[in-house]
Amino acid sequence: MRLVFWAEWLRFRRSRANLCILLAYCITLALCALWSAHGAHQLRAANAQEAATRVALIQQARDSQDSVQVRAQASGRVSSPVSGQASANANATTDPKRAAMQAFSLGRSMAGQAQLPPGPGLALSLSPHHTLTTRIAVSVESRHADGRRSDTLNNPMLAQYRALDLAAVVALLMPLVAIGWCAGTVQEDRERGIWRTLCAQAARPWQPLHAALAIRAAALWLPAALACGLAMAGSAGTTTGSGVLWWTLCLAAYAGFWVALCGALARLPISSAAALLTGLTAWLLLTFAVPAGLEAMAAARHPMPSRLASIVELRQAQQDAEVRMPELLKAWYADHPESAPRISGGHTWPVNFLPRFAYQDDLVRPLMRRFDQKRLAQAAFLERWAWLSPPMALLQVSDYLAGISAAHHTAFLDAVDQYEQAWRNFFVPRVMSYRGLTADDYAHIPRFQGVAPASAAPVPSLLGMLLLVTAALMALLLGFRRRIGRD
Amino acid sequence: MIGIIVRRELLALCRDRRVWILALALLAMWAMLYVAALGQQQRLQAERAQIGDTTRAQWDKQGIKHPHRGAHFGMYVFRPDVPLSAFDPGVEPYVGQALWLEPHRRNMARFNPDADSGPATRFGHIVPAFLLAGLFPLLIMALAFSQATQEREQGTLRMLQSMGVSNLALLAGKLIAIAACLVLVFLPVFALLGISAIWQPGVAYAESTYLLPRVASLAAVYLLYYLGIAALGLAVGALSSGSRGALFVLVVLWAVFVLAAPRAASAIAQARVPLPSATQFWAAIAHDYQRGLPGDPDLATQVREFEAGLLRQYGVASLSQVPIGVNAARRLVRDAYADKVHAYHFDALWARYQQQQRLLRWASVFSPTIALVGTSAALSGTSLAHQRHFENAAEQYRQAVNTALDQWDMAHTQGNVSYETQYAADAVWQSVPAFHYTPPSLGFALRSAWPDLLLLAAWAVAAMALLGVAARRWRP
Amino acid sequence: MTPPAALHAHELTVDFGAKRAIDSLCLTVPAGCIYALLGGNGAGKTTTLSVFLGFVSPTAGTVQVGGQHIDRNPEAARSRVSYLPENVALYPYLSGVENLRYFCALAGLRLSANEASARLTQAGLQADAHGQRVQRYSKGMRQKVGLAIAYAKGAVAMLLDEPTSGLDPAATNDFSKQLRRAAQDGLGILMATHDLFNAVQVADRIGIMRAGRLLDEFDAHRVSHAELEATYLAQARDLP
Repeated sequence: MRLVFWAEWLRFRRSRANLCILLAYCITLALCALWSAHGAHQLRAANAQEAATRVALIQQARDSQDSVQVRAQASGRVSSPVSGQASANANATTDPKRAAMQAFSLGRSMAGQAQLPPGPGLALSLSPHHTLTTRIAVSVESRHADGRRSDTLNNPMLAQYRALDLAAVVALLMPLVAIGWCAGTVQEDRERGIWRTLCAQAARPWQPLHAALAIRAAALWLPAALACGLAMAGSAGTTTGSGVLWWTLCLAAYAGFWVALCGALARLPISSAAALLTGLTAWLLLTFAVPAGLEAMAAARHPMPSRLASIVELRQAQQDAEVRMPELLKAWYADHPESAPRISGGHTWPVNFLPRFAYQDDLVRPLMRRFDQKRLAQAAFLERWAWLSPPMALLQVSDYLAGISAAHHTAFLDAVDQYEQAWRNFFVPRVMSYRGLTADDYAHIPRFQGVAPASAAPVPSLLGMLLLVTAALMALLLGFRRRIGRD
Repeated sequence: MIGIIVRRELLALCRDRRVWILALALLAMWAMLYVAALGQQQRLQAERAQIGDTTRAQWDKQGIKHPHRGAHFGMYVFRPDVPLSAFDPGVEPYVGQALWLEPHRRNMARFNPDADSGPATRFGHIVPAFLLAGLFPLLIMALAFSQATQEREQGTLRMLQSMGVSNLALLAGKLIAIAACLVLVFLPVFALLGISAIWQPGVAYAESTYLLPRVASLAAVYLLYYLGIAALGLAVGALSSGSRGALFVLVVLWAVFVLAAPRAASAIAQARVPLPSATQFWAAIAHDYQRGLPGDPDLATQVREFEAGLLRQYGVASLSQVPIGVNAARRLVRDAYADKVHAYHFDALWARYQQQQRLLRWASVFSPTIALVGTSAALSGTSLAHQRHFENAAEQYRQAVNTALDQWDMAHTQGNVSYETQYAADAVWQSVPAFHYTPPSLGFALRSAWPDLLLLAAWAVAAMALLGVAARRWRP
Repeated sequence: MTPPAALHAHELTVDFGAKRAIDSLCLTVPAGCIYALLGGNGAGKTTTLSVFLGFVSPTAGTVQVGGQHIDRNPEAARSRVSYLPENVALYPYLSGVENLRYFCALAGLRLSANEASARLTQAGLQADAHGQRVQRYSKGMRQKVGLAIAYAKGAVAMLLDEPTSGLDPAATNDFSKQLRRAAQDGLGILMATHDLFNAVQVADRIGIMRAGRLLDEFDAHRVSHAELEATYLAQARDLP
């Protein structure tokens, strides 16, 4: 068998067409990997910049408060601080309304940024990070009607051309190359008249065919594994080891699947061109038709609520909250005696709005989270049936490794809700009490603690599915082997 | 002679069962997809109408509020119904379905359907236009290349050449025959499109006359595209030495046209003309609003000047003595400036979109599919230009609504009135006219898509030229 | 103990559906013997070869190659037979040496480039063609490579299908010399052919097939070309 491998390797590497295809394949993967690594690096840099912006906003607010304090001291409206602790805890301004407004301004600014941390496989699936909401600025105001705090900015015309994600490119390109290398080769040898000689020469004619398939599978897998591994390592740093390993294994299973599928076409009594077309049809079905069908089934099983209908519900909640503003305000002060206001007399915006926003969000948040729950349910359905479409399964693995799967995103939104609650618990009492922020408070402004890691179980499960379908095809090939050579 | 060749080729194509099976299968698939898309479009249409009525009713029945608080409740406008969007949704899946109109701020459309879609759409949205633009060319290539390679493999090319038939006449005859088959196959597609577009509920006769030329234009554009693809298939078949090799080259070309070039072009356009992040965009607007655009004084100065002007105009010493609603008047000045700042930044954003689109058009050199997709979306009324037309109309409406409300407030109050006082009743909200949007004409679509049309025509010409070269090199 | 025949078929019958392609064929090709199988188009010559190659399964009867039953030990039988088709098709992007090395490797034989070149020279291919890509070879040159491939396998039997078809007289003569050398080396050779003249020249035994049956067998050394032609044509006219 070793000799047969050597013979098939000789035949593979001496074919100019094979080498041209291999070169084009490697160049395409390399360019895409470089592009993806660069994009991933830029995204991480942008995230870091946003985090720095957050710090800068808080510092700016602090500096602004300090300058007000200095002006107030200079004008004699306040006495200078005499001792450390007392001065740190005291809010120097004598104007409670200004203190409340300052705290409110910071509370509604973009300082409350929460970012979805990208996974080690970010270079594999970049585009969802630009499509889905991965940065949300929590606020003391209601953010669900306002897309400025969460929505991304994209050119819709470019979005329709889809993205140059590394994983998508591999998922599309690898089967096409496999079909070019493997589909119809036996038929072509038969048409040329070489097949009879080959079968006569080899005691086991299936050996050259299987050796040829194995060599092509390796030629498909190695460049992809290298390109992806380097892109992941180059863009994520030190935490990519297990991610690279999982992805490499998935690529091996994926390459094996397509090569085995094309190898199975060797049994068909059709021309080489027809075999190529059959392989192409299989690719079209598995890449486009089956996933579209599965997504339609997922949508039917777990129908997404209507976004338009949610607008009606959102507005109803807004109207309800606005009408009940006075009683909500009264109830808030009753429930928070420790935050009794420092002023007497009526309350105006923003103070009288804050309890309304909290009430409104209590009604609206579950409405908005329905969409994520349905998305999660649809994703779980697609994962169960991913074995029907290896290209879709590969994309799902890449999303998990990139940290942008439906599970990751839902966990992120859960964490954002918790962060928003902590943010409001910090700012709202300081606004409502007209106390504002002390110098000490700035050090305790809540920060986003990150996301609890989503379960990594789907990755081995999806890999298992890929391996299973590949093994089934290989078993079919092995089952047919004795019939090869019956010309 | 070409007539004889065409007749023979038509006979061969008609007798080839595979051609009929493939064509019928693809047509059936397209019809199913289109009918499903049509059904969904009608459901969405009905939903938009109902939601539109409901949100308007919510606006009309806000109850007694301060007029500015009522204005902040806002109105929603929804993406217009486009009869041909079931055929080619264009940018629709990627733009928001609803625009919130509120004072002081121009918002982006929200809730784009693509954000709720699954991972497989990253391979491509399976819509009727994608089938015609992306998958049917494969069928045409498979049909065309074999017309050339079979002549050589069967040995008939040698015989034809020995009879004095020129290669060019032979290939031209084959191309005409394929074109005739294409017309036969795709006529039902566009006929169905035309009929269904006109007979949709809510489409008035006047609109139907506006739709028919669009459908006819779409048919012409797609057939031009297919002619180029067929010429390319024939040329590659004639230039290649074997069937399998020719088919493989065509598959590679198809992958470049439909998958690789558009994605690569999109990525390059985004890299060469990067958009600001959402945070940067809104932060820049907030900054320029407060600090003033280049050459403008800051907002505080503008407001102070306005207030001073108001005092001078009415000859009073304090704003509380002004006989008009000062808060409303002040809001008119602030909002006018906010609208100016928003227009400045939104125009800059759209300018970047257009720069990206121009870069994408350059990539049409490598892919006629890019040119076709642009033309098809424009003719279907679902292009980026159409989206901008709608958003500009919505923005004009927003400004008109908020100006009207502030003017009413200014006329009905005096001096500084607290925002806690409530004096605008339902009659005020109901007096706001409804949003009526008139989609742009076919001329607008053609004007926005003429570069794509030109590129598509250039591709067809180039493919014919390649066919001419292949004719000279075609050897038995 | 006498060595087994290179090729042996006893009451071989092959049916393709309702059509009987080979009918109770009994044929033996001893080692060192060149057996020419004559017959018109559709007589069953190529089918007979396909049975010995294992491409077609017998409906009835026994078939052995080098003493190995084709149905009981197909791999062992296949390793004992080599084949030269009518049109020797090779990989056009490989050179003559590379094609030989490739096909020999499939048969479990590793040849160095020099060894392969020596075998091609032995088969009569001129040295300057060894390194050229096969797409430039003439029919005769391809046949020499094919012969080298068949011979290098070290089989006990060789099957040839219309080997002189399309060859000029000089090439046919060269080919005949190669065959005789192979037979002298102990190969049992079964050659399906229309070339009566060549059959008389090179074969040891001649068989005439028609409609799947072996009608006649001759000692080739005891029959002239004219006699063979007369018998052949008489059999051909005597259609059932």
